[in-house]
Amino acid sequence: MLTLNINHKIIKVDVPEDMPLLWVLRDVLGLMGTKYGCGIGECGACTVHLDGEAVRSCNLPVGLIGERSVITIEGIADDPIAQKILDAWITHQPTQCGYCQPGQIMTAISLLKKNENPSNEEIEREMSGHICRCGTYQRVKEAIKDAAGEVEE
Amino acid sequence: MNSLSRRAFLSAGGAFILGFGLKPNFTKGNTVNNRDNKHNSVPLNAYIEVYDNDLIVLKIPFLECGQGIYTAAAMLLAEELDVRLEQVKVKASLPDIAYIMPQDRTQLTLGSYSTGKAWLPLRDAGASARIMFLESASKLWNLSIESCRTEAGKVYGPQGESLSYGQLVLDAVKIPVPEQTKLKDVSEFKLIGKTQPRLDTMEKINGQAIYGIDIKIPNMKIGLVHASPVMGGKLKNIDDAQTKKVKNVTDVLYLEHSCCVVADHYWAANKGLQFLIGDWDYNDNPQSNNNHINHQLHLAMKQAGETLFKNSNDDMETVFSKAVQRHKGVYQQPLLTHAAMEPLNCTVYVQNDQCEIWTGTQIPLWIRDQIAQLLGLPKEKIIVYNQYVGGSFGRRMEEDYIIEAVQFAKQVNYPLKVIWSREEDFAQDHLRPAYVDYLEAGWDKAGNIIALFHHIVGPDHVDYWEGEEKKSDYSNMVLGLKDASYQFPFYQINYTKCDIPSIVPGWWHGQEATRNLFAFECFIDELAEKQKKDPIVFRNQLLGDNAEAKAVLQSVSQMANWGQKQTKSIAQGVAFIHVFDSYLAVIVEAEITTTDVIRLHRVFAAIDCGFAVNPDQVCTQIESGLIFGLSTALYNEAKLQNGKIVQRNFNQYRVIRMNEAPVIEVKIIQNSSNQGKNQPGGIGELGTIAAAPALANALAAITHKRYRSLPLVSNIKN
Repeated sequence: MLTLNINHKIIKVDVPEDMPLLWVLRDVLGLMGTKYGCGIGECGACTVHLDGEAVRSCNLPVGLIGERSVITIEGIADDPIAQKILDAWITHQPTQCGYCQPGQIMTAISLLKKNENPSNEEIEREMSGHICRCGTYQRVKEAIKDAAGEVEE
Repeated sequence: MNSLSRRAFLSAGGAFILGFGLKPNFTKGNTVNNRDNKHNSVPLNAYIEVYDNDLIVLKIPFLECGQGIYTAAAMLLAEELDVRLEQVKVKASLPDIAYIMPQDRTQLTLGSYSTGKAWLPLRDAGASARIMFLESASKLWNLSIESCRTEAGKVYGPQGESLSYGQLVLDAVKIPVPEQTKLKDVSEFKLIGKTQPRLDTMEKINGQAIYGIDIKIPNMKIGLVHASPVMGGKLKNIDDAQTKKVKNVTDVLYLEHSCCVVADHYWAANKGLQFLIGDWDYNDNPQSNNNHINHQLHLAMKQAGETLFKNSNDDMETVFSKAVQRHKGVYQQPLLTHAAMEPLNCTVYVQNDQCEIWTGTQIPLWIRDQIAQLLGLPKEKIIVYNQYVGGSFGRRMEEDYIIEAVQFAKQVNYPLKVIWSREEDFAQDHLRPAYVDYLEAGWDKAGNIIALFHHIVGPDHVDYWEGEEKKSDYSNMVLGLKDASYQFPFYQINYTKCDIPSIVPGWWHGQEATRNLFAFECFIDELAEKQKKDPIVFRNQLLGDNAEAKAVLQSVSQMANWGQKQTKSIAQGVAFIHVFDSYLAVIVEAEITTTDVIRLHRVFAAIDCGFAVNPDQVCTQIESGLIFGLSTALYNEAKLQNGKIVQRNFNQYRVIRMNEAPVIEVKIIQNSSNQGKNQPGGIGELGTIAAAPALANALAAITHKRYRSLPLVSNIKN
């Protein structure tokens, strides 16, 4: 039995330690906002926060997490920076099929928490771990810059 | 419109519902209201349901795969019904003939046509319902219908009295469907033609949107598929003893060409699959490599082919013999995978008397009929709940994954979610086939093109898809060519069918137009170069007096400041297409660095789709298509080794990421002659179709070499 801290709740799960966090979230806890895209950390669709850092949950064995806090897309509602990001996403409308977007949003939130006014290059460096087959990169970048402006104010 | 039918009923949940459906076999005003028959008393023949709490549910047959059809369809309805857009909730309809669009034979999401197909039917349904609400209120108030008006989901009387549609719905269902409706003039539109935010954005960004892969059914188990990596291979020497010992693995299921490890969760199924021992018997199944395929295609090019299109009675050789100069080019395009973000999946619950299916499909009605046949059940006992998909690009036009999931699920008595791992999603893809195109043109002394010949060589995936009963008429093969806007006195298109053994050919983004127009628009550019003409000036000449087409080209040339001085390593290239009833001109500005890296700087696009229903979403679709097409043109080729697809994940199938994405500027040309009169043209696939030729032409402008094969990165490195 493992004890996890997910979205500010302490949860006990009976799963093998080598099971990636992604499948614990999806198939054991029913948190479906974290997506499976590649399983090898290439596409970013499964991104969650581990103690505030954006990490890929598809290749993170759940046994390595320990007491660190896990936040998924379902757990960001009360976060003011997350709210700015979601507002900017509504304004700039990058979302199409939407499958990669929760992952991109999790990385965008952690980026703005570390760096409240990232340059184009810094945004690109952070976000280029994500694949979006709808090719929404330009609007994602605009949304992040817009949200950063809001954060500054 | 003469095909409206109506249903009125009290739903089980207590909400009053006014339903409209468009059924080709029904005439307007023909009411079907059979409450005794359970099937007819549920909303199966309805696009619209109006609830007494003022919620409007619009059920459409289209798959929302990112193209924004849910929002566009809601706009069409809300405009004429006169309700707030936020009141409308769009849902996928169940598979039923009642929901097909009047011009379709089946429920179909294909070919960038959804908004165009919905343009009149949904507006007509909205306008009819609005009149019924007006009439019901005026009767209640004992007023003339002319003295009442509608606004934002309410009917208002002259004294300011008002009733909402929800309050009126029980009375409105008793009003006969109007014989005639007058649709709004473009100048009266409040929603259509004005940018509206997508209705599905919030649920997709807060993690609440349910895709097929997210479906949860009580007692459901997860099955992971592994199928023969070579087409047609059969399982042999299976030993699943170790697999069954893996904790949480519950079953191992088999079909002739595949197996499925079932567990409580994905990870256990994945582990179980790794312990499965067995071999594949490939027998004499073909095991091709890319080189074999290309060799076969080039051999087939020597055949004359079947003429699919010819605009003149003259003999080709006679016409070409009059040319003062001739030019020819051979283009080669590779096998491609889809690599959508959401791996294939399908959840199925087979019970004795029915089968429920949760998945994303472009062909729900066809699926229902196929599964009914497979299970020996009546069609109405097959229920397909169409889901959001994480991209399709043509993959969800196929039926294979659903049929396979049903064949596994019918072996068990619980709901089964069958998932293809990313690796299996690649390995079992229905590939965009490889092709070779031969083009030849001849011109007179003045430089006028007097003859153009295009010979297409490759498989026809529609032939495969249609199955045994119906053979394709190959009309799909000339998509984007037959409707090209250029004028040629002699224009002939031939086709030589050349099947590729060991691949399953499939639908792909932009269909045949993606392949056709890469070859064609590159060749047009070559002709301009041969005649020492500017590529845009040359295209303008070919467009004759087509003012709409010329306006699009002129617009993009201004946006890009075309003709500005180029550097040695940076240049612009253009492509112009007319397909799916829309014009698109694209200019790509690209660089080849000293280390032979291709960099995409800026992309300009001008689109005339007749009428832009949701303008900003037209822009997003063009942006999206361009990135997809540029990714493909630069990097993508599915590699086939002994019949197996080599790439199995994104680390082996490179796509553009944010750091490589160009700045894209899109301009919509609102076509003055056609505005709102005809159905809007397509937008979803156009960017992809124009991207590759525009980029290849830009690279040619840098190096003065021609790029006649894709992907381009292989050309530059060679």
